Amino acid sequence: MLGGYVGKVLRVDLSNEKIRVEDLNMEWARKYIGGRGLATKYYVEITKDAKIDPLDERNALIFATGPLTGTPAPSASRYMVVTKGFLNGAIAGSNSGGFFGPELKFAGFDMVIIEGKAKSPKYLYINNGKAELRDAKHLWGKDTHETTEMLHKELKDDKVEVACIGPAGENLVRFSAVINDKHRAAGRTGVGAVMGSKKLKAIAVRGTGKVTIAKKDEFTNVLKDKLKKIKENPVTSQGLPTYGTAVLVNIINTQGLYPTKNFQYGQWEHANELSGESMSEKYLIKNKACFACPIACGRVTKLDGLDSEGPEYESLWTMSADLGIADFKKVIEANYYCDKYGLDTISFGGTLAAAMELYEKGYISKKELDGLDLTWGNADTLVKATELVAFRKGFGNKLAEGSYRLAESYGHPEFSMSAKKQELPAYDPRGAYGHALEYATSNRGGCHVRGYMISPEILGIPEKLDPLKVEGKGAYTKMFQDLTAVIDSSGICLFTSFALGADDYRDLLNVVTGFDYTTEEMMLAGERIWNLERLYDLQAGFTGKDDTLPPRMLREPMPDGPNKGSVVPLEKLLSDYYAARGWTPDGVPKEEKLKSLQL
Amino acid sequence: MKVQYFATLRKITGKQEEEISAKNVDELLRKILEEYGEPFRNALYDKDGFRKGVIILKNGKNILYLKNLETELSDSDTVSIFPPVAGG
Repeated sequence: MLGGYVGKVLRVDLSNEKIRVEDLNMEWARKYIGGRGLATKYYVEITKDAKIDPLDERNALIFATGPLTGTPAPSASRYMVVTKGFLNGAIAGSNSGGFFGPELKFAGFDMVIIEGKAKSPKYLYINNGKAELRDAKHLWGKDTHETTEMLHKELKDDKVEVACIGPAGENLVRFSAVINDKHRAAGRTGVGAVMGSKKLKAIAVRGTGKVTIAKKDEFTNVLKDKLKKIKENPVTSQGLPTYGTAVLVNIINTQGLYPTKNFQYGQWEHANELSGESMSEKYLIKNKACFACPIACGRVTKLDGLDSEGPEYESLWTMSADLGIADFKKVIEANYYCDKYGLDTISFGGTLAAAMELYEKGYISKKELDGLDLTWGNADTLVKATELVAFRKGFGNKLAEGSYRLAESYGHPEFSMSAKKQELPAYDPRGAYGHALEYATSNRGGCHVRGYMISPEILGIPEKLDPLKVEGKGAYTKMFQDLTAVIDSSGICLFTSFALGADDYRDLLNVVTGFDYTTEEMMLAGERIWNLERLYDLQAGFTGKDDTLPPRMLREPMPDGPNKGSVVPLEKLLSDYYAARGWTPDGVPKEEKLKSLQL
Repeated sequence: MKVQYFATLRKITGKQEEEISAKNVDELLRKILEEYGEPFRNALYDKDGFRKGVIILKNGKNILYLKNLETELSDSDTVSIFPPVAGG
């Protein structure tokens, strides 16, 4: 018997207001697992033309769970939003936790595929195997918190899980997010704008079903073993629960790769004041766990009447060090508004940082800013900019285009700290060369969670690698990327990987699905997923030349700290990586590689 | 030299940093363990030695790429000690 999958896909045609249910393709499920992988397979089969505009009605928008989502497997809360991203036109996969993904499974669906465009705002209501499109004119213009609360009231059920867009998605902000549980974001790549272009305000879901486990007898012991590993690991049992993800601030800063003022420097003098340790001491109310999560890294914070969550490490960095802002309260406030308006914090802060540097260098003039002060360190500007961007007001309309288009419009794209037009996260790649490779090659553009090389290079997990060595980084990054594709596709949180390894994920997948993967077959599925995404990007018009980093990382030596003098030796890193992947020197998968992956 | 503590080590020591003199990292750790005892030892060590993910830096550089426990220290140095933590 097979388990894990509900076996049903909900197909929603917004243009014709038609809904149908079809069986999940189980042959694809075995090859692409679920979540990110399986949704990408469905996406490329449905949206055949990779060159379409992301806002074209033919661009499908897929919400996908994995086979582990909604099971008692540790941290099995995740769902993935797959589409062509509005930020850069690459294959987008934005991943979120909370409770929405499990609820979708309990309501009877592995995946929801949205096609077409509605003529007027709609929301999709899914309740135990049934689905209908409902009018959402009254919700249009509301923020994500208001939308969630109004739907709870309207549907007379607080247990309805809501994934929605805020004003940023409605106003087609390039880096708008889909928000669920008010504070959990499928944040990156502009998936919110794709949803907004379809005039789909929200998906509200309620289910009371259960996810079947294929090997119930074995499941208990396997689960016990994995929970024991998570409980005994100091990262997942102490560091993350006690301090949240922001515990990284001091580690990354001390080791000299904490990007400061748009990556001009690698260390920030105020890091300790705005760190995970400091947040726990001053603002933390309690931890918050996603569905079935023994780690509970979520932060519930309270500030002058704002009941908020976070900020997470990346959000804290992008709104503090990257802008030179040392006002913790304002950072918490801005983070709150990013969630409320539906903005991706990393790209929001990264774009503001590029604007501040363009202003500092004299390329943006004061007179075009309508009183907005783009001086480094201005905390009031940070909070004000969330609204200006979400509603595309004044200079916010330019910021809403993301850092690359902003900097390019002033003739200086080099001030955009992005890869494939997506803003880089909170690690200067001049301090970790494997991580540089991850930034340059991520299929969705600048991203840290598709192959988190910071873990071995800086944190020493699962083993310590020298961050400034080139040798071996190509193969290691490939391995991390392939394993991450497996984890993302399984529906489990990536943070479990601080305590679990490939064999653990194989065990969990096997007892839940009954597929009896070997570790090799499972890792091959991860590699297949990576190559499928790569093929899509190549068809969309990207080439190996886009596997690059901002000129600053390649030509400006790090000016300070322990990595002083370092630049990223990208050419050598890339050639090793392409070889490890079985790709041509131009970054194209070779025929024999595709054949071996059955692509 | 200045010794900085992070994450759970701040709870154990009750300090963010302090001044300690030692000729190398090995001597420094002995002094710290003597002062803070089992809780500090448990945070940094398991039965096989350092726990996976423990980070000790001299002026921001990991001692693994210097002379490890034999890394020499002087009064102007800063040593940063992290228990295993991660995020992202």
